[in-house]
Amino acid sequence: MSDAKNANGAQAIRAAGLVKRYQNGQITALDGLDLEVRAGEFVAVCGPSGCGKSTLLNLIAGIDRPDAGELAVFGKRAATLTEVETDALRSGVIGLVFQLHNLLPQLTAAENVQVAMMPGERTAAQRAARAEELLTRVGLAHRMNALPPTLSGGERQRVAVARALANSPKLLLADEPTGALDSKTGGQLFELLGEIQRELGMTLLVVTHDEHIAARAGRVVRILDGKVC
Amino acid sequence: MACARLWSAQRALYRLGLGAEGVELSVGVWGIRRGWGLSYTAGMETRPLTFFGMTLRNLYRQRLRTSLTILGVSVGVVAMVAFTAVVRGMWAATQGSITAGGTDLLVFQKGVAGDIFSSLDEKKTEASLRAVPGVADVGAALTHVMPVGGKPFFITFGVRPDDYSSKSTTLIAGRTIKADDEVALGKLAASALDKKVGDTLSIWGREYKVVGIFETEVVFYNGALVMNLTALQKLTKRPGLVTTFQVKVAPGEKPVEVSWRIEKANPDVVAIASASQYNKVDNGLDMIAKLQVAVSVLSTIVGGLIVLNTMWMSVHERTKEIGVLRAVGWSRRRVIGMILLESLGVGVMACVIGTPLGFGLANATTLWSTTNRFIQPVFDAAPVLVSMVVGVALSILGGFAPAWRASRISPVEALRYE
Ligand SMILES: Nc1ncnc2c1ncn2[C@@H]1O[C@H](COP(=O)(O)OP(=O)(O)OP(=O)(O)O)[C@@H](O)[C@H]1O
Ligand SMILES: [Mg+2]
Repeated sequence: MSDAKNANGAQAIRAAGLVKRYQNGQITALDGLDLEVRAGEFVAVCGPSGCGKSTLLNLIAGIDRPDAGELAVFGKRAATLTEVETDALRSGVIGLVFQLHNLLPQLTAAENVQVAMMPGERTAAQRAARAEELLTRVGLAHRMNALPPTLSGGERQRVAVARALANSPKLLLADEPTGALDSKTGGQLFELLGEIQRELGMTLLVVTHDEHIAARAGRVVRILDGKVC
Repeated sequence: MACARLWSAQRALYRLGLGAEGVELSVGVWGIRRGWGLSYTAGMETRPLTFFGMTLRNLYRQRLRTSLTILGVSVGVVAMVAFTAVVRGMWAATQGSITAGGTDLLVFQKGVAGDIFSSLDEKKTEASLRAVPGVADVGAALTHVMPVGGKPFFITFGVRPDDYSSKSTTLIAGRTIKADDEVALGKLAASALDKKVGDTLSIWGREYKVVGIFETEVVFYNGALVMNLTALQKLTKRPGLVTTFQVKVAPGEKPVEVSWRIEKANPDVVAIASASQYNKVDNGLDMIAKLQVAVSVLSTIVGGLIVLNTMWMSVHERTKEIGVLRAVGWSRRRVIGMILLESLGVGVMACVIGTPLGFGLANATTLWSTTNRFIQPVFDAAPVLVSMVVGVALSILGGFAPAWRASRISPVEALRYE
């Protein structure tokens, strides 16, 4: 199986010499990282704990800013974006799935998906309809009105995937989405991500520890000490 | 015009990050538990969640805390509404007491700490008043506050039956007083003492006959007891002295101008033509009005602080959630909008609860026979509206700091701690 057929040659992510330091430069999370991801690619990012995987994702998502180096997402240079623009990026172009589901506990599965669409232009009814569609797609048609605490770990993560897909992102970033799941459930979730990625032809960047899971991706990028190795 | 204003209001909401749904206020009252602020769409299994609905859900989620906060803020609204009504009532009664029965001016002794401390020579002062051009008629009254029939404060007026002011009183039963052992009661006084015409009333061991019941538009007259001036002078051992003179000015004369002439001709007196001049003889009204302002200001500030405290706590607890919202594309503005809307919700609820409670509290004074003879609350739309607006405004003001704090939450930090 190849992702090449989805690729139109355009660059989704281009990072060159990316540096990110924390605590007044005492901790170097990223140390001159280079990475190129073509649009439509499915890339797994692997590496030991603390090597800078989450940091990389945060920079790509515009949640955090690099200290040095070049970073462009779909041709937009991170350094030149205002906060309003990075917000817009996350409510449109980029979808995020976190290691822990991070759903709002007082809202139902369907409402959690709707919340991500609030910044957009859809009406409340349109948002609800789309949330139903997405939850059905991730196999949760029967649990749409359930509150997160009553969902299983795998179900919650699927709600999170539906939420990340809500605004039809071109790029889906997932930070150890299977980290809190057992290997079987984790495998299923990965399967689902892969399927959706192929269906929608989106770019998918997944951080994972699990080599078996990483093997399903089109390409594996390994990071060590803040650099691709 | 109105349309344009509505449109710009919607634009403002949009800027706050509320979006079009900020105006979609389709609250299903009975959808409280599940659907807060949702319109159910047929054929769908789930309900649309509006921004507004989400705000209500956040408030509902911490219902005990929200209720206590609302209660705390509503105390301010209650105090403002009730106190304002009482002060307005006192103002109206004072104004009424000046103009009751065709009177234009009240004359008191100058330089006293309160109207009941005023003491004027009956014969001398009356003569000097009658000599002032523009004075048409003069009536005299001695005011005394004493315990009567188990009520600690009973306003008693000693009047001369032949004065114009006595004759203009409206009787609802019996007749006017004549002899020294006769008294007339205001209708509130009669009910407080449970007396009717023909009953006897014992004051300081002397028996008086109730010959009449009267009614005026002045609440503390209705709560008063009236007897012959000479009888009250004797009873209080103040022979030849009165508290006040009622002055009727000649047709075509301006009361204020006559009051200036009176004060010029007789430097020992003050003449009052309106409630706003009453502070010449009595600071009570002024002081209560100032107290009212102080209480209102304090209680609303406290209300604002309560909202500040609650929302601050609430934002702190939701650091992670707010970080998640920011991570899925919510702008700072939208987060600010959410917290401010929650604060607004608290303020509006506080008004909804506090305003009727304030009405109730002020009205409660009319149920108690010790207070209803002095206070007749007056409810005006304007001050009630002001109280409500101030209550809501302070709630929003209290929400600003927490909202700002919420907007500062970085998704990175929020997502890091578990
Ligand atoms: N906000 C922060 N403040 C201080 N140090 C940070 C911060 N974020 C990351 N770091 C540090 O930067 C390094 C890289 O962190 P990062 O979270 O990117 O690692 P990771 O590869 O995602 O690890 P894991 O697999 O455990 O999630 C670590 O040493 C981490 O302690
Ligand atoms: Mg990580």
